[in-house]
Amino acid sequence: MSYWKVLESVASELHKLHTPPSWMQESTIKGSFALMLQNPCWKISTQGMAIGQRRRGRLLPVGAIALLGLSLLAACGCVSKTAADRKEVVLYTSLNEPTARSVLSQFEQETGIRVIVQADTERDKTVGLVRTLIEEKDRPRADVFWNSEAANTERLKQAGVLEKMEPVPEAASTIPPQYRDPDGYWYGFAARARILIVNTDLVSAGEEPTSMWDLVDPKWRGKGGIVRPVTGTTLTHVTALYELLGQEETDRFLDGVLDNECHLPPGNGRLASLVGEGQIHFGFTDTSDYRLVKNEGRPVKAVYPDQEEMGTLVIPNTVARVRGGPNPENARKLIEFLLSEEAEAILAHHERGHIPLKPGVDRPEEVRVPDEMRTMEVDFVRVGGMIEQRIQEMDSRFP
Amino acid sequence: MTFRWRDTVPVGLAALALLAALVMGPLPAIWAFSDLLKDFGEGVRALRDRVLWIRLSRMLLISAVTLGVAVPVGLVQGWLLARSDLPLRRCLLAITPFPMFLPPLVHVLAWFGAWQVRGLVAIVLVYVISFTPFVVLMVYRSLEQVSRSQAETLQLIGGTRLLMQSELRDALPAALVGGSLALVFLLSDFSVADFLTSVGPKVTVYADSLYAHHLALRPAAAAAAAVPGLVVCLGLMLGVLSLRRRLGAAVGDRFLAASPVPLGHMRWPIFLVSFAIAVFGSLFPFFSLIGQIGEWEVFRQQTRLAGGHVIYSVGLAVAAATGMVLIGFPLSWLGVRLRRPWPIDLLIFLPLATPPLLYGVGLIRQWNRPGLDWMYLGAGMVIVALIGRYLAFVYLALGGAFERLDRPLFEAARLSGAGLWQRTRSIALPLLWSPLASAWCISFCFTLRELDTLIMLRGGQQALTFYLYSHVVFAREDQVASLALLLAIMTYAPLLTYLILARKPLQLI
Repeated sequence: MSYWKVLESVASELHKLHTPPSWMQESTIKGSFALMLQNPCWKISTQGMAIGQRRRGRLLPVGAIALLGLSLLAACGCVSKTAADRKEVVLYTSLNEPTARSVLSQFEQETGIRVIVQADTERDKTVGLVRTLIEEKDRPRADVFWNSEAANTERLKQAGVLEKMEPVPEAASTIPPQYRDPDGYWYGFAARARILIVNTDLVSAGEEPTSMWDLVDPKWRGKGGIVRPVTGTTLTHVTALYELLGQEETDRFLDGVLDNECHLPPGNGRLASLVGEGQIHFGFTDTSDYRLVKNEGRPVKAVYPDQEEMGTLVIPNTVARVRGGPNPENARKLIEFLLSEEAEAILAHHERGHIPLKPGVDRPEEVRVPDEMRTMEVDFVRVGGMIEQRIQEMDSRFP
Repeated sequence: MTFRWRDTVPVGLAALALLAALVMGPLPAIWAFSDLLKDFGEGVRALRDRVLWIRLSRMLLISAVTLGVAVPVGLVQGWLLARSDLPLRRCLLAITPFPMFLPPLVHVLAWFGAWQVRGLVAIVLVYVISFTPFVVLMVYRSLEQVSRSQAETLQLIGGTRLLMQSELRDALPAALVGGSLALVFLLSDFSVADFLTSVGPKVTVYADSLYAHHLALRPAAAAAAAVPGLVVCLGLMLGVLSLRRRLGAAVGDRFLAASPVPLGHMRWPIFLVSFAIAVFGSLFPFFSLIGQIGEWEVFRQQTRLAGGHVIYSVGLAVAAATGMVLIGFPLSWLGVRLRRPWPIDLLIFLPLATPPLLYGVGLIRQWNRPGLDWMYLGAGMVIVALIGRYLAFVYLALGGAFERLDRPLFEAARLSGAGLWQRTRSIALPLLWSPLASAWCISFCFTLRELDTLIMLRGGQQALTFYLYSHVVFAREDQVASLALLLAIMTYAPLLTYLILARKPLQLI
């Protein structure tokens, strides 16, 4: 009996996780279990054969079919609603879900619209999400795409996955023009800066690296780090460097990275942790990853690089509407909310400390905004257009 | 004595199972490779890429070194557990399979957190620990068939040395089946190398190339780049499986199991080595994770936070494992009965050998259709995906069990007038109870550790593995270790239950 109780709790937990369709009420699921419990098929005669064998022989297929049936029944309870008139919106996001939820729960509270989130893990490098959006292009299942950088959003726009926002969201009017698509397909908000995270136990004050070129300085041989630039903000960063510095200079930088024995961790979060642990002296990461390590009490500081020259790269989160998504009205509401000052303030106060792009947004003191630093001038539309070529080049360059 | 065509399972049921398996596994895999037809030129260009072949060679080299250690160690360990009078051999056998069901990342967290090991040596170490149990279990299962008369004859002719040599040689195909199964996982993994070479010289592997093509949105190139790995895996797996079938013998009604070989004065020293191998791989990650957690309160809190994900994952695994056993039962019977089973072997192993991301693409193409939302958007899609991907393990486990059935018993029942359903119900199922439970356990554990197939499916987002991987970078180490430990406990629990109830080792084949 206890086994069935466990199954019952599974179904009930599944029911809590996902609202079942109208025909599948909780009572239906529980009723099915009750029926199974009362099923007389367990009381099979054991006459004429070794009792254990006979019982097993009969119970097994019946039990197995019942188990599968019950599990599928429970699984049906997890089917998300699909009709456009329901109060829900489907969000695909490359952010890790806990961070995204800090904003989305506020949206849900204010509007009563439930946000169904499909996220990605850092390990999978947004590949799964982007491929899913492309594969679902002819029958979209997502309403909104919230990307943690801009280049892949631009690529999805070029691939015809995204839809132009008309009319322009009201909340978008105060977004600086360099952080929004001039064609109106995507908008930037809550940015992250590409900084050098430095271990203060290993690097004495006054000797910190201050430029990206320090990564290739023989003085720092084997001490610096940068994520292998085939994905995420590092790929965007390197592609932006090609736009800004040109082919020759950027190639020189990347060759230097390899020659100078820079470490190549799998992600910016991992790089920040390694610097915090003292396994790497310093390296390029995002402000959000730096903040997590700093909050753990690790001996690290952030250096905004190249303040005397080309400036620090600031990469916005981007949000866009998926073409033909099932809940267009709710999608617009979510986008309006994400672009609002309220959402930027929530993300600024989050432990990862995203940088507000709009003027006057409430933020902690340590979160520096673009006006307080020299920033790189980047055309994210051009960067997005170049990124496919750069992926192949970087993949070959860092074999 | 020959078997009649309709001895155990109705043909209609077998055909139905074949159809279900085809829809769940091979068809999505074939869909995924259809990109090659759309842009053949891009596919050819991807195959001409030197980097792809360098990485494939590198991964094959890592695999060769891994299997170079895992196969001999597993062969000897399997022999000791199956055929010698090693003390506590049943206990050692019981804990042996644990490492193979843990996601590689859990091993990495356990070992990396404990010793700060890194580089190529660390990569091979993690893989050896993860995959040696495949070999041990396969060898054990193969050596269970050694008959007393055969063993006594060999012992008389050449003593223990000849006996051991002969038995190890006979068990080699089984060990290679284990190795080839491990290769499937090895070729599609990149996270171990990526993580363990975070510091120091970077090691990129074959799966990195596949990801790069997906990232560059070149589907034909991604499909083409997957072909060499697919060919290697399928070729090796089908070849070795066929070899094992040819060498494997059905156990007859006069079969008497061979007595354990006495190890003499070396018994205890050998036991210490064998004990170290079993405990090192199986229990060290467990204790290492406990050490990393430090405080019980952290584990308790994480367990509470992840409670919904645990229940969801268990629900998925129960449904998928049950589905696999229901479909795998008639299918494995079909595989044993057919004179040339390789087309079925090919169909069953194709989804397992297909890179998970490509398989996910195929699933979207097949199931994202009008009228199928109830399936595509929910947990049902994940269950179907898991059944399709891991059916091969049930097929192997039950196929081996069917081969070992006492055939004259069926013939006698048939001559006595027992119908097909009665024979199945009264003879086959009771005899196959243990392999069925074993196959269910294996499926359950493999589906619990799965992440890659779930990534692209909405229903996969609530699984515990997804939750764990979402926290690897962003949560504190003790929190991540708590989640990894939780996953390990969820994996170990059904295995222990099976071992206690069945009093038999897991029957992988």
